Amino acid sequence: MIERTVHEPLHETIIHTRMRSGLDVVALPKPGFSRKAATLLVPFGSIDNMIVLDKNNQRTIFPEGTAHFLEHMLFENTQVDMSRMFSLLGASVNAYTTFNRTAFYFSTTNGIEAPLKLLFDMLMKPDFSLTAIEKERAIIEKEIDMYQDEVEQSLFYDLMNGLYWKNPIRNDIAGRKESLYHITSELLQTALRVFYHPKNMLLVLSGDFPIEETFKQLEQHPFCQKKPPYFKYHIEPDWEENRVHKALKRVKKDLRTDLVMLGIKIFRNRIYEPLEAALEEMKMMLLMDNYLGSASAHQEQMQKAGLINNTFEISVSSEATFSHVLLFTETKKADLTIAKWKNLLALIRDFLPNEGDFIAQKQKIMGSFVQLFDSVTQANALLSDYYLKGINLFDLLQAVDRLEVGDLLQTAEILSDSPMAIVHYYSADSSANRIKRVKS
Amino acid sequence: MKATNKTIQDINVHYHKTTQFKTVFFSVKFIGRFLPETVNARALLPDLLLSGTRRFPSKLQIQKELNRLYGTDIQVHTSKMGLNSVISFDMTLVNGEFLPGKPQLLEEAVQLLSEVIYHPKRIRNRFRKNRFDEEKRQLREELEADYHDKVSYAFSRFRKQMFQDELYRYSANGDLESLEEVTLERIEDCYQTMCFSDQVQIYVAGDFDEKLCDHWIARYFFGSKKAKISDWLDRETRPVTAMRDIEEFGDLNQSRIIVGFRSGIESADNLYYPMSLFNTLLGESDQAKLFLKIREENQLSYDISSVYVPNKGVLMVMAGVDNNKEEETIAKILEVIESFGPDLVSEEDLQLAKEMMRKRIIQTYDSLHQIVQKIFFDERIYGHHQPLKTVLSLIDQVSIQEILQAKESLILDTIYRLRKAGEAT
Repeated sequence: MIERTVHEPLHETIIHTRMRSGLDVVALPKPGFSRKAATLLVPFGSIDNMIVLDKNNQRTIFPEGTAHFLEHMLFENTQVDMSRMFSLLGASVNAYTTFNRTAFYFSTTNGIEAPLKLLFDMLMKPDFSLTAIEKERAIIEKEIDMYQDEVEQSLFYDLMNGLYWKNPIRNDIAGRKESLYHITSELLQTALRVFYHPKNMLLVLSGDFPIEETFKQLEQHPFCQKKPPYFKYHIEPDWEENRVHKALKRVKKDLRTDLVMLGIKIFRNRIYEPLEAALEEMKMMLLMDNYLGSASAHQEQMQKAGLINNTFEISVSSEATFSHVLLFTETKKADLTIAKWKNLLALIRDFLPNEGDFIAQKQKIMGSFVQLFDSVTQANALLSDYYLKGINLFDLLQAVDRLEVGDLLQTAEILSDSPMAIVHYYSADSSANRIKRVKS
Repeated sequence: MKATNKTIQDINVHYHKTTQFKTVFFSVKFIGRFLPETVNARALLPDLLLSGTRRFPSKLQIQKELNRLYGTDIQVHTSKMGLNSVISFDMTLVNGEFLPGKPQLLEEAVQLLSEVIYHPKRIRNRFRKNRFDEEKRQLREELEADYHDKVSYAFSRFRKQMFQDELYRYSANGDLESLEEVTLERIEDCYQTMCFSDQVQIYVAGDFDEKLCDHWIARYFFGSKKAKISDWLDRETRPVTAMRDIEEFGDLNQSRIIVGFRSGIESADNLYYPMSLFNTLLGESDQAKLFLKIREENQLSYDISSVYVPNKGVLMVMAGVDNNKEEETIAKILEVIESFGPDLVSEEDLQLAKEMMRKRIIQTYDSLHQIVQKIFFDERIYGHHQPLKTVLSLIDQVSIQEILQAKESLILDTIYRLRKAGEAT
C-alpha cells in the first residue's frame, strides 16, 4: 500500500510504503532537481551498547565502537571495492555512525534503482573474516588518532563524561583503541541480525524519479522480500542520579583562546517516547534561543563584555534515555564567562519571552524549515532524522506552531533546577593557568 | 530557467528566474583590488555593517527583524578571486507563497539589505568606535582560533611560506599579523571605496517579479562609473630554482604534511579540464590513486587528498600521518604522481573521474547559491555563462594524453611538515 500526504502551504508530498520484509520507505519527490539522494538508516548507534532480547531475556553487551565498526565492515568486502561499484553506477556512497544510528547514503544524477539494489546486496553478504576485521581495525585506529587532534570533539566528550556517570553517551562513537580488540565476528553477526533487520530499518529517498515504479522494482529484491527471524529487543538503561559526575574539569591545551563548554543535565528515570522527547527538545531550544540566542539582550551584553564571540553556540538534545542543554564558546575571559553563564542560568526560572519575540521566533523556525526543502540532501537528512524515530515531521511542526509562551514556564523551571558540568580548556597564557600556578 | 543581464544605475544586474525553488537568493557583490594593506579592513567591513543600521541600530535588532521575515538569512564574506577582493552580501529568504497567509517578504528584505549596506548606524558621520572595536575583537579571535584546527593551521602556515612573495599568502578572511594596523580611519576609507569606487554586481535568483526588482534595485542601490577591475586570474609565481623543504613543530598527535606544486594551468587554459580531471584521479575521491595507494594499500594515512586551485594554477596534496611516517608518505606521494600514466590509470578510472565531475557540475543547478556562483565565475573568466551542455562536452572530450600533458606542468615547489613537538626532550 502506498500512502501519499500533501502538505500545504509548503506544497511538498511525502510518499510512504512498507515492503514485504517490513522495510519502511519514505520518499520525497523533488521535481526539476538533478540530484537524487537515498539514506538507509539503522537504529544502531554508539549508545546502543547493551540490549536484552525479549524472548529469552538474554543480554548482549557490545564493546565501545561496535556500531561504527560494523558500518566500516559492511563497506569492506575483500572481493570487491564497494565504493568503486557505486561509482561505476554513477553514485557516490558513504556512511556515518552517530550516537543513535548508522546511516548509509548515496547521491547520484543517474538512476537511483541500481545503486539501491547494490546497497541492499552489500548488507546481505558481509565479510566478517579475521583478515577483514584486522584490516578495518587498523584503519579505525588511524581515524581515532585523527579525532584526538580535534579539540572541540574532545571537549564534547570530556563534558559528556562530566555530566554522566554511566550513560553510554559518554563513549566516543569510534570507540577506544583497546575496545576495538573486543569486537568479534560473533558480536558483529549478532548486531547485524538484531539491528539490521528490515523491520527496524528505514529508507529515505528524495529527488526527481518515478517513485512508484522504483518501489515496484525494489520490491523484487530479496532484502525487501525475505523475512529473516526477527529478534525483538529492549533496553534496560542504567538510570543516572540527579547529579553530575564531575562538575568542573580544567585541562591545559595548546590553544590561543580558551574553550568553554557548559552542560545542563536534565533528569531522566524513564524512557521517553520519541514525540515527547522531540517536543521537549523544541521547547528547550525555543527557551534557550530566546534567552541567550542571537536576538537576545543577554547575548548582546555578553558579546559587548567580550565574554563570548561568534563561536558561541547553544545546542539541545532530548533522547529516549538522556537530555541536556549545552553552551559553547571560545573566550579570552573564561572565568568571567563561566560565572556569567551560571548566574544567567540560575535566573532563567523567572524568564519568559515577550509575545512578539516568541512569534517572530516561530516564524524563523517555519522559514528555516521551508529553506531545507530547497536541497535534495538536506530535506533527505531532515526526514531521516525524524522518520527513523517514527515522528511525523509535519505533526511536530504543527505542535510547535501551537506552543504558547506559557508552555515554556515549566521548561525554564526544570532548567534552573538541573545540575551543571563545565569543561574548560585553557591556553598556556590564560588566567586559569595563572590561578593554577598560584595554587600549586 | 530564464536569464537576463542589464545595467541599472551603473550596477550590473543579473536575473536568473526559475520556479524550481521555494527560496529567493539576492546577492550584492562589491569588487575592488586585493591589496595587502586593505585585507583586514575589507574582511572586517561587512561584519561592521551588519552590526547596526539607522532603523535597527544593533545586531540584536537586525536579528529580530530577520526572524520576523521568516528566518531571512544574510551572510557576508570577503573572498579573493584573481587579484580582486570581492565583498559579498548574500541574502536567502523564503518565497512567501509557501508560508501560511502568503506574506510578501522580498521588498522588505531587499530594503533591509540596502540599509545594512548604505545606512549603517553612524555617529557624526563615522562608524561607532565601540562597534568597530567589537568587530575587530571578533576577527582577532576568529583568526587566532585557526590555530586550534590543525588541518587549517598547517595549511595557513604552508601558504605563508610557499607563497611568501605573492598576494596568495593572504587569506581574504584577514591577516592576524597586521590586524592591529586597522584603524577606524582605514575602515572609513575602505567603506568610501566600497560604495563609490568598487564595481557592483547584483544577482537575483529564484521566482520573483523582474519589473518590481528593477524598481527596487534602482531605488535602494547604486554603482560606480569609475570602477576598475584587476586580473581575475592570479598569475604571480616564482621560478622554482630550489624546492623549499620545511619542518615545523606543534602540539599534535598526527603529523600534517602538505606537498605544493606549481602548474600554471589556470581556469581559462586549454588544459583546465584535463588538470581538473588529473586532480580528481589523483586525490579527490575514494577512488583516487593517492587514497588507494596510501590509505588502503599502505595504511599510512586516514585522510589524504589533493586540491587544485584553478585561479592560481597550483595543486596541493595534504595528509595526516603517524609520527615518523612523514618521509615514507611523502616519498610514496611523489612516487604515485611520478608513475601516474596509462599503466596506473585505466580507461574505467578515467570514465569514473569524468562521471564524478559531470555529476558535480550538473548538481550546481540544484542550488540557487551555486547557480549564482557559477554564473559569476563564468562571466569573470570566460565573459559569459557557459551552458551546461558546453561544459559537459568539454569534459567528455578530454583524453588521457591531455591529462598526462597537464601533469607534466607540475613543478614541486614546497614540502611542508607540521610535526609533534618535544619528542626528543
